[in-house]
Amino acid sequence: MNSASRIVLLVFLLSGCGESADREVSLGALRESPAGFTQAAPGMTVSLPEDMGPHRDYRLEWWYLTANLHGADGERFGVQWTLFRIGLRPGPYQEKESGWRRDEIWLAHAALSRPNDHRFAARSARGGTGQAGVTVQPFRAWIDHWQLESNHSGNWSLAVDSEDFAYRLHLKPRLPPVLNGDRGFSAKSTGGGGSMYFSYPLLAIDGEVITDGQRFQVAGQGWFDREWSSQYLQPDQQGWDWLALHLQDGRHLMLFRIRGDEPYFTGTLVAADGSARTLGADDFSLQPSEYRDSRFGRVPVVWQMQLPAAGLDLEIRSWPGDYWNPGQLRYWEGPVSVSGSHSGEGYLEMTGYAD
Amino acid sequence: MGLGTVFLSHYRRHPGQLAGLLLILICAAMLWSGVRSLTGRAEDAVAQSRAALEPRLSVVRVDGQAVDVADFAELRRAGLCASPRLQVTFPASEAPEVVGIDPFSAACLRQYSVGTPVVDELVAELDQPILLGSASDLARWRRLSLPGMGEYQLQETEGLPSGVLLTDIAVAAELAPSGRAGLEILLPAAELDRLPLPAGYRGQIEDYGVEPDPLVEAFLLNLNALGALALLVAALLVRSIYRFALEQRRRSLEILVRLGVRTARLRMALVVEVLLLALVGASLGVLLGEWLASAMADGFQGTLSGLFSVDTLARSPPALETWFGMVLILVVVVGWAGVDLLMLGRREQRTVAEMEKRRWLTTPTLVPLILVAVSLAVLLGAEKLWLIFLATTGCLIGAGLLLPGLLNRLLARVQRRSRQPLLEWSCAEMRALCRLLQLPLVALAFAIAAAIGVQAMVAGFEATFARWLDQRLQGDLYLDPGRPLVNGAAADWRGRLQALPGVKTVLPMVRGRGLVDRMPVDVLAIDPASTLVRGWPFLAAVSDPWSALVERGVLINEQLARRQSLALGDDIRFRLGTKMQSREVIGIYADYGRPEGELLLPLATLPDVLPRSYTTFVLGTTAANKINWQDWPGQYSWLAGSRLRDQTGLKRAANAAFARTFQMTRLLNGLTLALAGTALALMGLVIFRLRQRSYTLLHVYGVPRRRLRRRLLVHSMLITGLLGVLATPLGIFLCWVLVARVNPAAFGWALPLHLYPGFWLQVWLVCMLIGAFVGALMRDPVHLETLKNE
Repeated sequence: MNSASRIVLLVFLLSGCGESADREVSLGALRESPAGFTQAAPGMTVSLPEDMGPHRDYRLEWWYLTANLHGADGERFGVQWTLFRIGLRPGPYQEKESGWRRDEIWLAHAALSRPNDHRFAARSARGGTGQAGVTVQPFRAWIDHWQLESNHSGNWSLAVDSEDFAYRLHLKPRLPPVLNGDRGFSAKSTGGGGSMYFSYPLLAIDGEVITDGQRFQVAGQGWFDREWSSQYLQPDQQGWDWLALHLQDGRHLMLFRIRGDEPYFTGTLVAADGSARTLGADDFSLQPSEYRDSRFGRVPVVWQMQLPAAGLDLEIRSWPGDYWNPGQLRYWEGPVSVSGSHSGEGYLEMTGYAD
Repeated sequence: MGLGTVFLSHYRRHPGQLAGLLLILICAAMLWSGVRSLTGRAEDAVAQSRAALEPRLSVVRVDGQAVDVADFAELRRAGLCASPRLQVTFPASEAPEVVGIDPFSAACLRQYSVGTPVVDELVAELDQPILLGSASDLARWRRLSLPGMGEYQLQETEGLPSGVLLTDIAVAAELAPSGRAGLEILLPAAELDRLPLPAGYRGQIEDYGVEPDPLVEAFLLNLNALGALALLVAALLVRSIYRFALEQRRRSLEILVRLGVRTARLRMALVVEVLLLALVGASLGVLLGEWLASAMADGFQGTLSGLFSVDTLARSPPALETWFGMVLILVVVVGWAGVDLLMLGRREQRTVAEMEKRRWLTTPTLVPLILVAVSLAVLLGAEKLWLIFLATTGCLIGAGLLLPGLLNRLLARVQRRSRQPLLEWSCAEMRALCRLLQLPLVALAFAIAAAIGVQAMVAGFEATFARWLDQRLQGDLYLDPGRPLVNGAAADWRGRLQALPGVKTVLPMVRGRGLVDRMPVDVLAIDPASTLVRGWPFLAAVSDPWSALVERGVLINEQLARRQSLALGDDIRFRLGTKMQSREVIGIYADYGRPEGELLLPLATLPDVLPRSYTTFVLGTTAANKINWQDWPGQYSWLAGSRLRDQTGLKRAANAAFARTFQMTRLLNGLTLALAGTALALMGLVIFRLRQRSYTLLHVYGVPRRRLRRRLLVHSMLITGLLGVLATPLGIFLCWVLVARVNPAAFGWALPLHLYPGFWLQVWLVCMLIGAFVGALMRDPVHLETLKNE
């Protein structure tokens, strides 16, 4: 493992205790491409269901769920559950038996958000022991007793249990997965570099959320991302603003802006029938219009988005509160509500802001 | 000419005085801050290990199979906060043990989550096989020369247990084939209140998680007290030098007053001088103290881990507070010395000599006598260690005050009875010296007493210990299997050992931990029928204790008997693992050298699971020197990795452990004695110069120069020699305090009081040598110039 991977580890592991960390060093984790790992490139494509499983020749990948849920009495909840895999050395690994190894690290982040309330929990494990991992058939992603798994009918269930919150959810993929970018290669800059990226744009969700000893029966919708790469950002890029939105008319929208010397915009618009269109910088505009002073500095929390070709003129507003997931590479992951030409809901993720 | 220059001019004229003063201050600061640095670190280590205490379980499989990585994954998948620990031991007896932990789950155990940055270190270096450990353990590791060892990055890390190299569990697993590995899956006991263990597993207590006796504090208090004694000696010396300086400076100060310098300003200048002296002394002393502490750290750590299982000693640079504290202490020391100078204005009219004389005449012998009596009474009744130290200090101060007076009276009596005028003069001269050198003489007396006392205790301990060890070590060979023997393996080993050539008897000994009255105690289980235990000495026992042990009884060590106030016939309730038992005390045995309480039980009474259970064997042979037991581990594969030692080897190891324990005490004593001797020499030199006039007068009256020179030498030697003799009872008293009062309070065992007249002779000789040295420094006591002003 080179120094960059070591930094990645620290970045993710030292959740909550890295207040004095050098953020530039932390961001290096997403920018540097260590030798021996495969780099995502244009022309590569996605094949399912294999690509639901781990890619041991890539350095960093994730299984990423965000969901907007509602309680029986109108309570609003945001749920995030992410499993990261970080390769310490490029795979495939020879050892088939389980054992104590130093090949890869698994990390999971779980968060439960309500207006003005954000709870976060993290877990980490080494690969090779069976303590954490992902299998393709049946699809199962787990770390300790946190688990996302599919059943024989193709539906998924998620169980997360932490000190101050828990959730048990049933997820039904309502639309087939969509390939983002160029048949799954999602560029992150004009100069090349990016990741392999596909999403399940609509998961119908119901289940139970427990917080402060209270149980809530919940229902709602979610967005699930699969992404893998060995270098996400270019050296001049500081971070990204990412949005996944569910509009009331049944359409779904994923957009992101990479902030660098030259900002890079792209996105995917998914029609109600599941057909998807990749969006370029010329197709839409996305600009912050309001900021909020948060725990770790000023962040844009209201965004104006126009996509004239699809008749969209949206104002995207973060829920009131502070939605930072702590750690050395802390990031904002919080629910948003959508108004304007269409109403809706979704999630906003921002990296590279924290001071 | 400024006031400062006038002040400095004194030291320019008497540079030896300044050097002496600074030397004493630096030495005292070095001793005190060095000792404090070590004891402070130990206190931190104790606090840290206390914070890391928690009842801990080791998860085992019900089917008796050893746990492996799949079991760990299963427990984690069940939601339990379990963490693995892979211990790898190597055949070489001096090799450190490699302990592999999983940094990702280590936070589950308080021991790795409280104040240990090692976990982050292991995560950050996950790509490189890194071993963390103390410098000495890493050095031992390098000597091992295992295959592929060059790949391992070694990093010196403080705060780790000695004899252990910590690493990532994957690295330990890579090393496992070169040694013997044992995997444990640990779990805080509290986890099972939250979740049950999955079927097929059970938890056995690995650590009760209770605090041991605060004995280590008593040990540290001992050391601090020695450091304080050094400070006391230094205070006396500094005061004597400063008071003496007063004599020399009074005239120049008076001139300054007459010239119009206000006494307030004069006092301020003196305060500045005191502060400067304290500042220089403290700064250099603290630096040297750190050096002293690091030089002694290894021995000290060995002692601590051997005696109290405190072995996470971290090194820390001297803090600003340490330095500031030292400056303050020295300000008090120098300030006390200079208090007479500060009172200058009020006592202007009296000369110092008059003051000295007055004090000398009026010092009542009653006050020190009362002090000694009261302190003795307190000492006899006190149980608390600090009270014992306080009372001892009282006795010492009282005796110190009496001692010069005693010397004076002795000389006065000789003076009265002497028929020869020169002898009479000599006596008067020595009395004058006693008076002038009162304080450094008292300091020297303390140092002598401490040397005699500590030597008697150490030598007494060694003799008692050696005798006790001879009686206790009945077998010829001692076998450490090098790994815990579980699931009936001990019985299997016993059979195999019995079959070895030349082996007559085999005695398995199981050590573990139990609880008495919520305090952890050691448990030792043996076979009472074995012939190897027949010769055991007891402090008190019922008749035929070994058969009573089988039926109803328990043997306990002196420490436990004292601590729990137990006598023969009392019942004692104790917990072994999860089982409570109650047995009758049928014997109390001496168990020197460590503070832990111990229960001795028959093997049959042990539960299946005893925390920290470890089996060793004692072998009785036909003739140990005729069998090649050294080759056994090579010959028999099942003995590979085990350690065999014969009786002499074991004794050597035990003695080495104690030599290390006392090394510090001896070093501190030696330094104190050297300090007192040096100070006396410096003072003596100046005092003798003051007395030159009387020697010169005698020379003028016709006594030859050579004879006077010899006489001066004899005076000096007689005073220090007599002081040595007079300080000897004080030393015996100190030894009694140490063996009969301090030891039971600090360690739980008492020692018989032994006297060593041979050593006294050595000390007296050293005293006379100091005297001779002081006398010899004078070279020629006759200086006609001293009569010039008369």
